[in-house]
Amino acid sequence: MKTYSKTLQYAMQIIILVIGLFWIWFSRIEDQSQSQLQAPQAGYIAPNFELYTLNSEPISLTDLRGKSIILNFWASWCPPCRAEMPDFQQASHEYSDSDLIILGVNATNQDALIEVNRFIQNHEITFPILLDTDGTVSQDYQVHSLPTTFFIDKNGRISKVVIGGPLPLSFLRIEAEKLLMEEN
Amino acid sequence: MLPILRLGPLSLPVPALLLLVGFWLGSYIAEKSAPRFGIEPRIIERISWIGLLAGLIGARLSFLVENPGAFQGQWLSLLSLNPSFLNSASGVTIGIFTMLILVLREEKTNQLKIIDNMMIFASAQLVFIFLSRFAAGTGLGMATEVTWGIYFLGSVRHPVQLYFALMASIGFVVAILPRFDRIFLPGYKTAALLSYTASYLLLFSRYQVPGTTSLSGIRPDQIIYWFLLLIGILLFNLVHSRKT
Repeated sequence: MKTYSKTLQYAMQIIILVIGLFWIWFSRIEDQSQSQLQAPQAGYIAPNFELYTLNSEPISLTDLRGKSIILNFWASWCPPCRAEMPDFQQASHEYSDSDLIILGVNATNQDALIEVNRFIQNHEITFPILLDTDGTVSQDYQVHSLPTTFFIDKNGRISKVVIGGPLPLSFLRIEAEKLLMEEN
Repeated sequence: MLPILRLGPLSLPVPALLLLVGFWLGSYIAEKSAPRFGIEPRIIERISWIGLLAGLIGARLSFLVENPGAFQGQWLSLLSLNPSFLNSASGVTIGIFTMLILVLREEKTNQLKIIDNMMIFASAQLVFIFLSRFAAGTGLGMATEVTWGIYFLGSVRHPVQLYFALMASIGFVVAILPRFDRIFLPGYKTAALLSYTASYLLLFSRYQVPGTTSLSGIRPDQIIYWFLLLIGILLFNLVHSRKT
C-alpha cells in the first residue's frame, strides 16, 4: 500500500513537471516583434522622439541609430541635476572621438528657458541640450523624478536606467565603456 | 503605473515604499506567529533584520565589485541612497543565504519550524514585490483584449504583476492561517509554497512581454521557474522521506 501511494506520488510529480515543460513550449515566442516593443525600461527599445536643441536644430533618436547614447533628463532647478552636469560635460569631452553621444533633455515644460541658458553658459556645457517644451518626451520615458538617465546601445535598446543622482564621473565612464564594448 | 506619489512638497517613491511595507508586515506577522511553531519571536526578528541588512550591504558591495571604478575619487558616493547603485539579484541572494546560515545555527529540531515560519515573511514580501513592480511599471504584460486589461504604453495589457500578486496573496493566506498547520507538518509548508510559487510564475509569465533574450523563442525565465518547481518537489520528497 505504501509502495503504491509512493509510486502514485512520484507519478503525479512527473506529470506536473512534464505539463510544465509543455507549457514552456506552448508559451514560446513566435512573434519576435514583441521583443521590439518600445518602452522606457532596460531591455526594451528606447521610444523614439524628435526635439530641438537650444540652437533650434532638430535631433531625432532614430537618426542616431548606430551610436550609443547617454540620455539625461534634467532641469535647472534640480540640485542633483546641476551637481552632475559638469561630470556629463567631462564625459562628453572624453568620448568626443567615439561613437558615444551624450544628450541632455531639459524638462522645459517645468523650467525657465532663461535659467536653462544661464546654466549652460555658466558651466560651458557643449553637448546637445534638447528642449522638451511640452513634456511629451518625459511622459514617453515615464520620467517622474529628476535626474533620470538612460543608457542606450547602438541598436536603440536601453541597457540601463538610473533614477536620481548625481552620477559620479567614474560611473559614467564605466557605463560608457560597456556601451562601446557592445559595439565591438 | 504609480512610481511616484506626490504629497505636497514630498515625492515618495511608491515601489520602494511597498517593499518596506512588505518587509514590515511580513516580519511582524511572522514574529506574532512564531509561538504557534514553538519558536521564540526574537529568533524570527533577528533573522529577518540581519537578513535585510546583509542583503542591502551585499547589494551595494556587489555593485562595487561589478563596477570597481564607479566610485573612484568619489568614495562618499558609496553611502548614496540611490537604489540604482544596488545589485538587486546579488542582494536578495546574499540576504537569503545569510538567513539560511542563521537558521542552521539554531537547534536542529527547530530548523524546519523556523523555515516554515519564515515562509510567512517570504510570502508577504512576495505580494508586495509584485505590487511594487506593478507600481514601477516593470514586467510589462502583453497586449490583450480582456476586459480587465490595463492601458499602458499605448496598449491595453495583461496586468501580469497583479496576477502574480493575487496568486502570492493566496499563498500568504495559506501560510498564515493556523488551520493549514495541521495539513503541513514541519518542512512541508516550505516545499509546498515554493512549488506553488514556481507554478504560478511559470503559468502567468506567458502573458508578459518577452525580454531581450530568448532561446529559440523559449522564455529563459520560464526555464528558471520550472527548475524552482523541480527544487520544490525534490524538497517535498526529501522532507517526506525523513518523516517516514
